[in-house]
Amino acid sequence: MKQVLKKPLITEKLTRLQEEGKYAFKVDKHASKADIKQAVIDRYPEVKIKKINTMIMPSKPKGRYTQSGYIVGREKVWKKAIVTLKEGEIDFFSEI
Amino acid sequence: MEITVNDITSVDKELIISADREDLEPKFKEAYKKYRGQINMPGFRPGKVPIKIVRKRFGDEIEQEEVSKYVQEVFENEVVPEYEPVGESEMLELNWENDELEAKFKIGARPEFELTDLSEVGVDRLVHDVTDEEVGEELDRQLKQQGNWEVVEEEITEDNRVTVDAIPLDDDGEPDEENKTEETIDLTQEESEQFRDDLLGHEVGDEIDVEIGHDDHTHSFKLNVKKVEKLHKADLTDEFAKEASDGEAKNVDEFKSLIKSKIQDYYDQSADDLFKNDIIDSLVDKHDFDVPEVFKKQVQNQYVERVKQQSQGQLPPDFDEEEYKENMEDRAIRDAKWFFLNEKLQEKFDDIEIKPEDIDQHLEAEASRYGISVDQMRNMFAQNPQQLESLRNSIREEKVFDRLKDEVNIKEIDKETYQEKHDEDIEA
Repeated sequence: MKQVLKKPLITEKLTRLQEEGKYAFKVDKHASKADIKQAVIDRYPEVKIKKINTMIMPSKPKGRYTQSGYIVGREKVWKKAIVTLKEGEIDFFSEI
Repeated sequence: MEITVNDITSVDKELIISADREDLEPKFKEAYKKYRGQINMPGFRPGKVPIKIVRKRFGDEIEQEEVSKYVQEVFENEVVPEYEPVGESEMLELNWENDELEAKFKIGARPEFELTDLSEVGVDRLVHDVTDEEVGEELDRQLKQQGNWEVVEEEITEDNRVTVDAIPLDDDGEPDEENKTEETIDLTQEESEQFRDDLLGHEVGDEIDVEIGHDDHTHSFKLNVKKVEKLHKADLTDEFAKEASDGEAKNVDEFKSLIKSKIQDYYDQSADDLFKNDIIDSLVDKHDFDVPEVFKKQVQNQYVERVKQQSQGQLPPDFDEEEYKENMEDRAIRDAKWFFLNEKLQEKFDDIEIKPEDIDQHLEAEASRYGISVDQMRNMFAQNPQQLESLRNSIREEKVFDRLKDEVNIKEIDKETYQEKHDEDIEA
């Protein structure tokens, strides 16, 4: 597993959840909750984690119009992790 | 927010606008609200991006922009009314760091000086009444211009026009026939002087060797005289008078008085321009005060703009702007001084007013200069308030000159004396 935490997820709904101390990440599909916990602690050492919920986000069909017609494909299956913190805060923009 | 002013010289000031986050916060909040509605971010509906995220992602840019706007506002609303800066104020620094704002400007202050007693200012004024001799010379010039060249079989004199084949000679004195050119040399013209001595006394068919000097080297030519022509001036008739004056004069006498009045107008106009120039120079000399650096720079920039306009909107390729500005520095200081003197004079002559008929008069003159109707010219000015303001200024300046004519000590001098003095000034 090259990289457990792939990117933080920032959306309207997930920003609302941040007020409850819940932060979401796109993670490696094969990462376990323990892997995710370790990765979060490694990257944000000042936080303490309460629990981690994960879910596999299903593949959805997608397509695009090209000169030679409509090409059908599917999105990749990916894993989302919602990390609930006991204490501390994560600032996704600190590295920008 | 605080404004501090430090004197650099009596007319140059350093102005510092300082403020902290507290002063700027309302502006920032408003800006964040505005940008929040415009930002499109995946994962958020339009306008629903939390301000916290907007601040994190775009904070620096938004705040920097707001800081610039704030500084501009403070400058316009607080600095301009209180300090009345002159010239193009220069921003030296704009720092927004650690929630502290510091904007440094270099501004120019109006110089303080008293107008000298104008009756002590002496100016020469050129007065010249056109003589019949001058009218005769002009008439002769026009007759020659309208005359015909007639081929003659005579020796060449100073009144002739000569057509020659010019064959360049190489270093060994051998003619280079390939580069032969036909040239027409009008010996009545000054620029033909270098050929005059060589050609005089020769006739058609003669071959003459000439040397033409250029700076440090000479070119040798062989000239083959092909044609000699003599000028026959046009006859001075009523018909000629009508034609040459576009119908303005009906006969020779009227034509002569028309020429006289035109030359007189030319002298009067030149005398007026020279007088204005002299009066500016004298007043500038009589008043010793400094002009703000930023104002001087503004005048220099105007000169550069003028060069740009003269060469179709772009500076010539080999034009060195800095060198040009340096060369024009004395002129810029003189013009800047005149600006402040003119202001002071307008204050002194506070009864000067611009009447609608003054504007009409100028519009008529401008319209006839550009060959359009007065109404068209009026519309042009109406559409461009800046141009109208500059027209008002030039009328006001004109009236200041009119008043100055009554106030300063004018010594009328004739053409010759004026020329002598002018030459002396140039030498000096």
